[in-house]
Amino acid sequence: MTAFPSSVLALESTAPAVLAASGLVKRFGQTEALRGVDFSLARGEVVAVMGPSGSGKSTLLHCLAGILPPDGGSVTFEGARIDDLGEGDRSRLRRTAFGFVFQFGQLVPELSALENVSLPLLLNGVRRSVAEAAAAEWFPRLGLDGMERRRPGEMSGGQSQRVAVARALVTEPSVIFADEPTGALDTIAGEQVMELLTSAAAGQNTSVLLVTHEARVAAFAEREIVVRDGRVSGSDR
Amino acid sequence: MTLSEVRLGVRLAVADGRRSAIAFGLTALAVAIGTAVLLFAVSFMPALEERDGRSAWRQPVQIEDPSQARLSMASFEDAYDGQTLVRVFLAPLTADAPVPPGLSKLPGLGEAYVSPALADLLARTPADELAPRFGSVVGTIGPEGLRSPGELIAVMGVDPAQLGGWANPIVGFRTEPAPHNLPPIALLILVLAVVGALVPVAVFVATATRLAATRREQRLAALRLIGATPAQVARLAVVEALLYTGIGAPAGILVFALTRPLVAQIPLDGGTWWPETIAPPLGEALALMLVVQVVGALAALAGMRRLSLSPLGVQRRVTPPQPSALRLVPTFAGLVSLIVSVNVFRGPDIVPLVFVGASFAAIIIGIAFAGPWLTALVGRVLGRIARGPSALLAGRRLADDPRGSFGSIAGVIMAVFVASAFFTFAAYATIHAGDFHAPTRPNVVQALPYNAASAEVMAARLSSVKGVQSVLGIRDVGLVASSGDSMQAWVVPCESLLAEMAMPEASCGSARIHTILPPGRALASSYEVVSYDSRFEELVRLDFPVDPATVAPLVPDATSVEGLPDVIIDPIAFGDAAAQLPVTRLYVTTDGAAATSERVRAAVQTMDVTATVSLADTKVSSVPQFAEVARIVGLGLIGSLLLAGCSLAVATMTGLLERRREYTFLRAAGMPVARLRALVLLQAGVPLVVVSGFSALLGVVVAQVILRIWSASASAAEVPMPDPSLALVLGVSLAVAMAVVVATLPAVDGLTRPTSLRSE
Repeated sequence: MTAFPSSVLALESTAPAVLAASGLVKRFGQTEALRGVDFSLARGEVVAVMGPSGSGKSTLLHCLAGILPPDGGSVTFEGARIDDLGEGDRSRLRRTAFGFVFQFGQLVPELSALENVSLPLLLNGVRRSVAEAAAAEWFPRLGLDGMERRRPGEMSGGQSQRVAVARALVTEPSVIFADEPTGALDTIAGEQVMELLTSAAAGQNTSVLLVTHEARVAAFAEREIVVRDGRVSGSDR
Repeated sequence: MTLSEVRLGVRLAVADGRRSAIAFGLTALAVAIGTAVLLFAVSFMPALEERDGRSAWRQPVQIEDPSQARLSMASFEDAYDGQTLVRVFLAPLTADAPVPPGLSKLPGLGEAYVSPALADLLARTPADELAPRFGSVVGTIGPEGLRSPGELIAVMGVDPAQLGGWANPIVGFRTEPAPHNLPPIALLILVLAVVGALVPVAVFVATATRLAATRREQRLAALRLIGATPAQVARLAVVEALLYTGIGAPAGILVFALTRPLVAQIPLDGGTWWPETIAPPLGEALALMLVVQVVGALAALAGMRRLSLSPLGVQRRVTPPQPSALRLVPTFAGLVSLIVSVNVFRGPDIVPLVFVGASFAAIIIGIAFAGPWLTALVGRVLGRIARGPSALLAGRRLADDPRGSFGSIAGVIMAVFVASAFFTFAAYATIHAGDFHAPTRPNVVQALPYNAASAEVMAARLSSVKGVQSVLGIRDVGLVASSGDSMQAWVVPCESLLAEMAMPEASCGSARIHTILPPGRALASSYEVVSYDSRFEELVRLDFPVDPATVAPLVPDATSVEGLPDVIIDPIAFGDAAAQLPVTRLYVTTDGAAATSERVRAAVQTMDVTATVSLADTKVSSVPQFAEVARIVGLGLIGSLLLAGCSLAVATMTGLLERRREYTFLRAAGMPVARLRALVLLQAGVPLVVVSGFSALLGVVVAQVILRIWSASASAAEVPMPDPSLALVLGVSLAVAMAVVVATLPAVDGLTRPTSLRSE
């Protein structure tokens, strides 16, 4: 068990919160995955959620992102509660205000890289030509020049994750939720992806909630929290 | 194959819980429906033979020595209110005259036995419209004497003299049916309909067993990875396929048994069926069960080929090679072959039918071959024009795996092609069906009494029938020139005749002789006029000089007129001699009510049992079974599309499972489930509609090509577009197929729910 000195514990940011949770509880049958978690994320802040496997860190991300409805407590986004929204409203929120990067497999294999990146814009009703033009702007910024027409199967793992980052950022979301974004990459590729993700997010003042079990990856965050047995047991920086 | 392999194969097949159950249920259902359709197909000929056997007694057996005859019989096909009605007349010649099947004894003079359906109709019909045609009804005919449960037939006792030239002397009734004498075009269409129904079923059975391949491949690939040999893996795949067909095929027998009473209600060749007569021969049924298993096993083995090459079972998605446009070549080759063979071999011989049939088959196979190319094209176009994510994803999925997408609908496409070609033929047959009838006004009934002596009396009596406005007597005669050239003529006042006709282009003027002759043919200077009775015995012979000054054409263009003789002669041209010519044809003008027409028919046949009566809308079709075959083709199409719906549903759900992870991520990122449902519908519906439309168009074009070439040498030059009911049948069929796909949509939500990410 990692122990954090009580002097550096800081469970919440002092900046205004864009996303916050209070007393968050989530159960799966008899198992209590989250046991009263309090959390806040400031605008533009990068926070890493760490913890061992099965500690509840991914469940926390899913509850904060509106993917899973909590069984207790509340989640607020920009001051408004989102945990009591219906599935349709939560989907709309995820589509317009949030971005997502997962470990692997989130790109649609039949679509080109450019089409994959433009997909969230299309879902928001943006015209295809406009969506693809906006998506194309991300390729040079993420070192993906010339990759626009390639399929996911024709790219390396690192390139695919950079495409996934571009897809998460293309709608200029308020928050990006990244669940083990480098879990399937080697060290160098993982660092490249994290570097691009955090700098691009900072460029548009987007907050990032990063779930990882790797200290190297967590080092890209401004603040770390540790989840253990469904509780936030510590926070760093 | 060892028992442990069988056990492992079964365990693998059911290992996936609910998902297995859904795929298994749909696949087994498709196999069951396909098996049931094939069982009906092999039951068809035995059922037809059974039916023909029941009615064989009505076909007289020719005898060499008339003195041995024990019974005189004649059979007439007639109608009531548009329904076919058979009247069989029996006149015993000896005391031991035979009794036909279904009757306890021969009807006496003026008595009749009627079928249960006719008895029911008589009870519901006003007495003066139908009952007088049969005399006194003394009993009903048993099933052994009927072709079908709903057949309208009466067996009546008459005096031998009443039958005139129609009498057939017989010793006993025929027990073996005469061979079916279908016209070549009907034969061709029936063969095409059967092939068109069987090929899709075979494709569906193969497709259905292949559909679960994605899940199977993942499991079996894992076995390959731990050292299973390709042969072992293939055997496991066969076990799994046999599980589907092993349950689906017997379930098909159940579907067959449950739907047989409904299928028995479908009329074909003049009637519905007794359900118990629709039964496949045991040997053929057993062979069919075996064939379904073999087809399933072969399809499973075919699906294993890729897996054997790639034990990891994971294929990275790169831009796949697209089907070549060369796939269109067989279709065009079939079209060219068809045009050449129809042009080269015209006529009723069997040779052209073989060539035409082969070309037709080549086109059908060509469509199946070209299908993936067309599906890929549809996918590329859809992907290019898509504005939303659903259409974009559907288009890309189709373009990526056109063979997989087309596999589910291949059978449908062939069924659509055959149906659209058939409906075009049917429309042609329908519009030319009445060509042999004179163009009378709708309210004119034609009666042809075969007893010439009774015609005058009949005309007088018909004038008093309720609703009859006038009766025109016509004398049919032959004109024989000294050169031997002969023509047909009607002796009737021109103005009176035209009053009965719907011929605005015709005019009488002052001429007494009106010709309806094609260009290049003219009247001779004199003829002998000959009149015959119903036994074609000569009654009257008169000299008839033709005065050219009294001759004029009846219409400007005689080639457009059907059903009239070569010449219309005013009785005045014969002077007093006209009275010697017997009236042979009556045109009865009515008030237009259907009941009046039936009263006229009843009155005519009461006076002369052998007289035929035809209404203005009575059509003489060269292919009388067209309407019924059209119904069968239509039902076959709907059935095919129902099967395709099952195949499509399983295929799209399998595709969804393949992309479950990606789609779940998309939903987590905010994609509404409605967009995913739209994706499933587009992926299934767009190729179905587009490729069906292509097949329908090709079917119409092919039929039009055949008919245009054929009709160019015939008088019936007009080639119509297919009957509008084609659009209805196609629409209903597509709706049925899509309804099956829609029924699977609720599963989309469950399979891609973002909450499942925690278990990924």
